[in-house]
Amino acid sequence: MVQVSEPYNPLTMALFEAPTHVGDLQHEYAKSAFAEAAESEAGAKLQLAAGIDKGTLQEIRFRVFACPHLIAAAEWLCKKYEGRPLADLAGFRAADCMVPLAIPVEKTGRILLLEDAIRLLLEQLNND
Amino acid sequence: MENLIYLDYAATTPVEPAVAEAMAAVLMPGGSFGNPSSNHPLGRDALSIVETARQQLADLIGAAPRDLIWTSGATESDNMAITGGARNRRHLGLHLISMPVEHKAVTDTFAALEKEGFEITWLSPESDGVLDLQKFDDAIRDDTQLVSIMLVNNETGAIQDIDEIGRRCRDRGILFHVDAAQAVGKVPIDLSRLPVDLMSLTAHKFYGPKCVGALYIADRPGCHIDSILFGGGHERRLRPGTSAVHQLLGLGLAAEIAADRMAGDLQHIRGLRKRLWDGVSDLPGLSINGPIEGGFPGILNISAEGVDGESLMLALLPVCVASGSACNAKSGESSYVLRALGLDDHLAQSAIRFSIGRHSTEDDIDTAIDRYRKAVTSLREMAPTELKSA
Repeated sequence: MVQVSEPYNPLTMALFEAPTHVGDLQHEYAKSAFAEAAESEAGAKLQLAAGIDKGTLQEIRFRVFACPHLIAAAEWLCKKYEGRPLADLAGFRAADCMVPLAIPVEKTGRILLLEDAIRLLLEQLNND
Repeated sequence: MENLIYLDYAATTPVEPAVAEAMAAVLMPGGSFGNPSSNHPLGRDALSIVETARQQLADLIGAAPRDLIWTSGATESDNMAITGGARNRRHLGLHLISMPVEHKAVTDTFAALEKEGFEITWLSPESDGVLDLQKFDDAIRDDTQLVSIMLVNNETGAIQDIDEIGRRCRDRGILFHVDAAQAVGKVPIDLSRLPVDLMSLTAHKFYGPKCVGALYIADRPGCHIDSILFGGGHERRLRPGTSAVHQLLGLGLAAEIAADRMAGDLQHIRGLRKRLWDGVSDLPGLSINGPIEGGFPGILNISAEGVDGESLMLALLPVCVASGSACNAKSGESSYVLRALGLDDHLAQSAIRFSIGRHSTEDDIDTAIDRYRKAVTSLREMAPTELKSA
């Protein structure tokens, strides 16, 4: 039998089914920021909130209206960068999560919403 | 696969075990595997199966057996009927009428005819998916030669008044084609009474095998189609090629079973549809796409404000349904049928089509209700604040 690939790999399924970073920031921080990016055509929308203390990303939260891949990618981002230096976040590229989450190339534009939102977050945090 | 709950009967249905067993027996040595055109006992056995199937299908839809042409399914039947009918009447006029909510097998065929010089009028339905007959009357012209309107819509379950539309066509000498893929074997059809000239159907929607169907061509003056396939004298020279005996046996047997079970099946799915809607309808921001009452009860299409359809469909697993979302359909756009009903992209994307069948159970529906409620609620909690109003 020819194997037909599943549309969502196990990591995507796990992140989609049980995200732990949905919602608003749970604590107050020395610095915090909120950013939003939207894809007008299909209507996907992503909101990111970040709390910083002593140059470290203490907490990242998201809200999203989108397909399972963007939900999983947002959760993947939060898990990866929470607790790390803010400067690391500037190095995020959408491609970083597309391979581990097996996101189809036609969804690249939607995943780029993460890059857009991060850029806006960093502008706010670095300007304060 | 064991734990999946199948609520996608409008996409296809499982073959009845008795049908599958009878089909398998025909295929093997010792079965009636001959070529129905062969002039020996095995050929005659095969021909007997093919003609028995024609009689069984004819009995189901109130047709004469001689008026049925075997095809590979409704898509081929639609192509044959619309293209062959329009070309046959080309010298009389170039105007054709259909609806944008038809299956792609119909809309794409009309699009191809447009390139041959035909002019198409697309009649949009009302918000419940049903065609306003006054709009239909207004669209008819002196040069209108063919109308194609489906009986049961595959996404919404809306039922068109093909009796009235057919009468209007017949009064004006217009050829009337009906795509009945979602209707045959599920709702009563009596072609001895209905003013329908051409009707497409397929076996796999009524618990028969895939890749076999038929085109009904009424035996009356002026009802002719040009052949679009060539290669022999089979099926009145309209559909050449060796008949798939086992497939036709399956279609015929499935038709016979459908005739026996139709009333019970309808009552069963009507009850389950009500149970499903009653179980979710108190959630805010839900709307039924299509008729709330009066449509085909096997289909319940629901949009949910503030929810992405692809995510909803995944969250519904192990319940297997169809979605109106772009990503799921791989078409690059949300359901053109739902947008033709006036839905915006967001609502069309959020649509889930539950389609209920003969083997659906109350437990299946209760699981679907539970999964749907949880999925809609959790996806809305996840949504950006301004989308959570629902």
